[in-house]
Order: sequence, then structure tokens, then C-alpha cells
Amino acid sequence: MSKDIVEELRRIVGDEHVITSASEKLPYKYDASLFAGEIPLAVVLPGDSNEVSEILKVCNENRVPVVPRGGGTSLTGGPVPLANGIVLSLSRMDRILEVNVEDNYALVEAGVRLGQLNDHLKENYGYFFPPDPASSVAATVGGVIANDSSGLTGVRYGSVKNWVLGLEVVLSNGQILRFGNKTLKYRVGYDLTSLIVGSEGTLGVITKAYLKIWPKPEKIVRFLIYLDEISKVGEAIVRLKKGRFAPISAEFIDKSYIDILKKIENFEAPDSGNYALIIDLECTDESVNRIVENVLNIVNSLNPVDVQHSDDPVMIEELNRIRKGAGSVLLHMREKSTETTITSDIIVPPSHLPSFLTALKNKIEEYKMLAPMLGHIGEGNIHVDIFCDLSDEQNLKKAMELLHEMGRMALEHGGSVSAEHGIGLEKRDLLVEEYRFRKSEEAVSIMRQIKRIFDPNNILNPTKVLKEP
Amino acid sequence: MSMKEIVSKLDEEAGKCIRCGFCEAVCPTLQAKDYSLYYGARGRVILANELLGLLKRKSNGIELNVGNAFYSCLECSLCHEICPADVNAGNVSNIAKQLIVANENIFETSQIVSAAKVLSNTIMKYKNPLGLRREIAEWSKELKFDQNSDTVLLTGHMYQIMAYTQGLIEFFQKTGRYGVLFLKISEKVPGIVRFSKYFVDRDLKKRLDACIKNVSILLKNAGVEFSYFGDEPYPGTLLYEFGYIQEFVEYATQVREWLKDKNIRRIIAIDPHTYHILGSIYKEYIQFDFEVVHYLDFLSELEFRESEDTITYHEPCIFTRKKEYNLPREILGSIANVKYPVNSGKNSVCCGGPVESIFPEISERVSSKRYGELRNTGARKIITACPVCFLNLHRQKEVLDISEFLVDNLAWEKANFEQGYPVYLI
Ligand SMILES: C[C@@H](O)C(=O)O
Repeated sequence: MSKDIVEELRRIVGDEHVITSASEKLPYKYDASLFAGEIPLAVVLPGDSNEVSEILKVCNENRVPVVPRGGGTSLTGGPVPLANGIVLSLSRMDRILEVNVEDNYALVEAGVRLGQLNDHLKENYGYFFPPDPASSVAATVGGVIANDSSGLTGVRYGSVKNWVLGLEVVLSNGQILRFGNKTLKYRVGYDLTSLIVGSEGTLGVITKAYLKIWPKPEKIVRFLIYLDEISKVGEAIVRLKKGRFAPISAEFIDKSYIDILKKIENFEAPDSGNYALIIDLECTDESVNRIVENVLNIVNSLNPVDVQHSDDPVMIEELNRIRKGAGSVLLHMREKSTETTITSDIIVPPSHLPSFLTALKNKIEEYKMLAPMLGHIGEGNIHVDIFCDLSDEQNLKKAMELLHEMGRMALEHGGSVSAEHGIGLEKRDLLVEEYRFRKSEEAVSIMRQIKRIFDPNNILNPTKVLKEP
Repeated sequence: MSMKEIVSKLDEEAGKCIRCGFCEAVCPTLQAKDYSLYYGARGRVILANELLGLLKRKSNGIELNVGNAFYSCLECSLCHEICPADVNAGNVSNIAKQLIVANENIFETSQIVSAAKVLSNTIMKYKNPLGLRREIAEWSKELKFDQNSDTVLLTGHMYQIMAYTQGLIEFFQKTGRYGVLFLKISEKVPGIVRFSKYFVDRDLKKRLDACIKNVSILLKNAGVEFSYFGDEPYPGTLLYEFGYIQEFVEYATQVREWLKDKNIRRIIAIDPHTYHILGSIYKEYIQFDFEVVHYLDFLSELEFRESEDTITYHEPCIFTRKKEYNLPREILGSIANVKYPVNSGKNSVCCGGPVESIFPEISERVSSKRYGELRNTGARKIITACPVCFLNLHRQKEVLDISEFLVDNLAWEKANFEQGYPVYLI
């Protein structure tokens, strides 16, 4: 039977766009997380929405699981394949179809990479698509919508869901539907667009999107602040907010990160800076000096180890590159190649940061595990990278325990277990736990019902997000 | 190098990868192969790690067909530029090829691997990948050299070979399975490869020979004394690139002896591949104490007319990312208005050339894309500084080798002929 299905798929997309040889399928086993999937039946690379629709019809009729894949940069296992299913790679659908600055939108196919989109928008229009995950060079539009990603600019611009106006989605039965519109406002019934955003490929396959785009800030001034104590990191954010500053981005990295970046990336930093805060503020030529003075006043009240600032776009871009690669650079700290990191993705209300960060630090010390921290501190989103050894079951278990423990701590501080990386395979238990914590377990069963409506045969990215259909 | 050493080198390079996938955004072959990950940078590293895992567990019957993944890599190192973890998937491919070659019996081999083998046999036997001999020195016929000089010009055969590749590739593409037959025969009878000389593109050969002649003219006018020998050896670049390391070391040693025999102290290279292999790679494998320079190093005293043209310069990957050799940029910038394409400097994109002989369709798509980027600058001329780039990008007349552009723009009023060269007087 599976042979016939492959034949059908070949007929739809052409022989050269169906991959069946074991060796050629192998690289699809992975995304950027520690999860390894199984070798799929086939990898299919459609060229347009109609082909996606045809593929889904065949798979739905034959109950073949479909795992959609964009840039494969997920940190939670969303796109890793299942043995009896296909991988549906949207990579070939990589066209920017229309840009309309008067109406603030770009119409793009799902396979367009964010980096590619932003280069195009910035160079030709002076506009940009603001959500900026660390993986922006490689992450695709379809992928960031499916994960409701955000990243470095979340504190100012929120996550992808704030920037999606409308979607073209192919349902599990092959129907092509359009949710939302290209207009800046839209209030027609239940918000199905938002339902698809963050659904991680379990409700439908995103093929096109109307994205909201925005003029680039005229000027950015960046502060690089070194602090000695973790509570001050939280305090700096709190004080800046009280001072009525709305940073475009407010990031922090801890000492482990600072040290490894010094070693690998020639990042320069003072020795006694245990934490570095990187804060970007929008300004103009006229306002830059005033803003610098006011921010320095606030920051200096915390006795920082060092403060630098710059409005040189080249320097800002270079530091962005370093920051975005930090998660990978960190792996230089491992002792064996079987070691990897599990990345927590917790978030708390920023006002809780001073106490929460201290508690987090104590918790990590209690576990005696190597677990450097960085994060989008402006919105209270912290990534703790827990080192663990994949070849050591005990160690892996302990790392998972710490991950869960940190999730619980976030809940107790009024936060959440997942801010931007999604659930995938990694946080399925934590998802249930969070709703239980809020005494809203019924929400999970509503999710199940929604899943059944969209995908009655459970072919779309099964086992992801929710373990059981 | 022992198998153990190769394995540990591969482990060191590929083991750093955490699969973030950033490299997939820039890998030219991934796009050229319609995004099949097997043909992309991250895919290659994943396959290498898988291979290492399999090797640890068993020593034969490895059912992973990795040949095409690694042999299709351009080794352009653009992935390394973007990799936060400092992995160079190009190096991974290079080392993995060594592993494949050293373990012929345990891997499923593909046609590509046998093509590589034919080329390496030919190089070992004829000191040229196509068995060319007389054809190599034809460019020098009317010229005289300072045969007692301890500085030698080594063309590396690269400009010359380029006149034959297109014809050969077309032959293989047309003949299909006869191509396979040809490969099979040539594994046994390497001599058959010498038929390649009948695939020459005569006009192209004339033009490429003229480029080498240009180099000599520029050097002479800059007052450089150098020797040239018609029996100069090919430097063995393809042996290295195809993973034939043992052969490469043996071969490089022969090249060294040839140079010693001629009492050479300094080598002038004229293309990036030869410049890199002799200047950097040889030293990693054998004692090699010769000074290796590039001919452009000598031109600082020459005077050039300012050109009216707006030009664009396609930088060879070796110059931007392996040797950091920016002199061509400086020289061109002093003569003409140079407009760089979107991807330039450290981010410049490969011409597709390195895999032309074994994956012509990948090569073609990579080069079309790059050609488009160069055209989009609006420049009237596209300058290349490598015969491989030249061949792959020269779709129209506007593509020039840097030596052509420089000779065209030499400042002179009157020329005398000495030893067959025009010596220009200002
Ligand atoms: C971990 C990833 O989200 C980052 O922010 O680097």
C-alpha cells in the first residue's frame, strides 16, 4: 500500500520532489532540538498550494501521518518525523508574492525565510516584519506562524500572532481555506487565524500568509550593561519600565555565555560582569542624546560594572549576530559530543524578575547542573540551557526534571511554561500541568475537540502538542 | 593518514554541530537541489555524524549511501561564515570523502565515486586530470623566460583544463549509460582518458591561453624575473578535493622533488586553487618550504589608466574565506568603479564550478543564480579572478578574467617587444 501512496505523491509533485531513499531521508530525522524522529515513508516537496492540497487528500484517505516542515529550526521537536508518515517540506514555496506598504502587508509563501523577507523589505522599502527569533536567518514564515515565535523584539512587538493578518491554510482533507484578510482590522466571527497561529502543524498546513509589516525605526541606540548580581538584571528592567521606556529589545546573558562568547567570538567584556544586558531603544537624531542621558541615570543607580552605548548600525548588527548564535556557541562548553542542551522557555511577568531570577539561580545550584541562562528579559522570557548527556539516561532524566521544576516555578510566579518555542514533543506534560495549575484542565479537552474537528483522522503532526488525540 | 586519524578529524569537525540549521539558509547546493536536505550543509554534517556512529558499531556493510552528499559539496565555506558553532560543512565533506576513499570496500559506492577515482588515477599517471601534456604549455610558445631564476611561474594547469571540461561534460550527459561504461573501462585502462583532448573548445582555449600570457606580460612589465617549464606538474588539487589523501601526499612529494630539481625557491601562482593548495594545504601534509605568492602581489608598481567602466567583481571563495586575499579588490578599486553584488566579501557566493565535472546540473543552477546577482549590480563588466569562476559565469562577453581587464587598462603609449612580450613604455 505504501508503495501506491508514494506513486500517487510522485504523480502530484513530480518524481524529483519525492524523496524515498533511506540515505536521502536521513537528514530529516532532526530539527534543532535534542529529539530524533524516525525515518519517514517519504519526504515530499510541493511547489504550490494545490499540490499541498492533493497530497493531503491522498494522505487523509490513506491515514498517512503528515509532518509539515519549514526551516527545521524548532527547539521542541515539532517537525521531527514519524516512521509511517511523510514529511511535507514547504521549502520550495519560497516566493514573496506582493509587498504593499500603503496597506502595511506582505503576501508571502510559507517557505520564505524570515531573513530573506526582512532583507527584501529593508532594502526595497525601508520596512520590516518585526518578530525576530534568534533563528531568523533560517526560520520560515510558515514555521514561525505555526510556532507563534517571537524572539529578540518580543518586548516591543509581541509575537508573530500580532503580525499575521490572514492565512491560506490547507486542511487535512485537502480543502484550501482563507482565514482573516489583508486588512489591518478584521472582526468576522471566531478568530480562526489566531487558532492556526501556534498550532504547530496539527490543525492545518499554512501555505501563504498576509503579514503585517512596519516602517523600520529611524534610529536605534543600544546599551550594553554589565551587572554583578542577578537580581539587578530584573531590577534594571523594572526601573526602565517605571521610567516609561519601551525598549525594542531587552536581552540578557549570564557569565557562562559571556565567557564562551569571549573565547569563540572575540566578544569583549569586563571580567567582573556576571551578567550582560543588551537594551535597544528607538530614537531619532534629535532625541538620542536625551534618551542616552536618561537611561544612563536609571542604569547607574544600580552600580553597574560597566555601561556602553552605541548607535552604530554595523556594531549593533554584529552583536545581534553573536547573540542569535549564542545558543549554538554554548555547545563549545560540552565535554563529550553526546552532550547537548535542553532549552527551557519559561516566562514570568517582568515585575517578578528580581525575585524569580534569584530563585531560579538557587534552583539550578541545587540541581548541580551546568545550566547557563539567557533570555528576552524585557518580557520576562528566560531560556535556561540545561546541559545533559544523551548517552546517560539518569542524567537526561535529571535534566528533564529540572526543566519541569523550572516550569512549575514560573507558574508560581504568575508565568507560563512556554513562551515562544512551542510544545512539540518536549513540553506536552508541562502543557497539561499548566492548565491543571490554573484549574482549567477542561481547556485541554477543548483543544482535543478542536483538533478532532480540523483533523478527524489525526494525520496532521500527530503526537505533537497533545500526546493523545 | 590512518583511518583512525581521519575518523577523529571528522568527529572533531562534525561533532561541534548542534543542528541549528542556520547553514541551510546559505548553502548554494541545497537550493540548487530543490531543498533536499541531503544536498545541504546541515544534512552533510548529520550524515557525517551518522556515519561515525555506524563505523563505531560495525566495520562493514554500511548501508548509507553518502557519496553524492559529500561529493556535491562545493566546499565554498559559506556555511562556516554563518555557523555559530564554528562548523565548516565543507571541511566535513572533505574529510568524509577521505573516509569513503579509504574504505572503498565497506561503503556503497556511487557512480560519482568511480568518476573521482578515474580522475585520480589519471592524475597519478599523467600528472594532469585529463591526461593533457603538450596542450599545457602551448600558451608560452612565443615567450622567453628567465630559466635560471629561482622564481617559477606555475600555472597549475587550471586555465588550460577549463577549455576541455564543457565538451567532456556534454559527452557524458549525452551518452548517459555509455558514460558509465567509459568510466568502467577507464578504471582499468586509464589511458583512455587521453581522448579528452578531442573535446577541446578551441576558441575558449585561445582565450584562456591568452589569459596566462597576460599574466606573463603583467609580470614582465612589473620587472619580475621568473622561469617557466613546459613540463610543470599539475599540483594535485583534485586528489585533495576528492579525498585521495594518500595519493595526494605521494603526488605532492613528487611535485616538491620537481621543484627542488629546478632549484626553485619561490612559486608564482596564477589562480586561487593553486595558490591555496601550494600555499596552505601542502604544508599540512608534507615538508614544503617554498614561498608561494600570487602574481597580483607584484603589480603595485604598474600604472593603470582609470577605466570609465562600472565593473563588478565576483570574488573567488578561496580569496574571501580561505586566504583572505583582498588585493584584487584593491587593484580593481583603484582602476574602476566597482559595484559589489548583494552577497560579497565574506558572504560572496560560489560560482558553482567546483562540482562542475561531477554534478553539472547543480553547478549550472548555482552559477545561474550567482550570475543573476552579478548582473543585478548593473555593472557593464563582470570580472573574475579564477578560471573556474570564469568558465562557470561566462555566459556573455561581458565576463572577463582579471588579467584581461588589467592588460586592457595598462597605461602605455608605445610598446617594444622583448623576448616575445610587449614591454610598454609610459
Ligand atoms: C533559544 C533561542 O530562543 C534564543 O533566544 O537564543
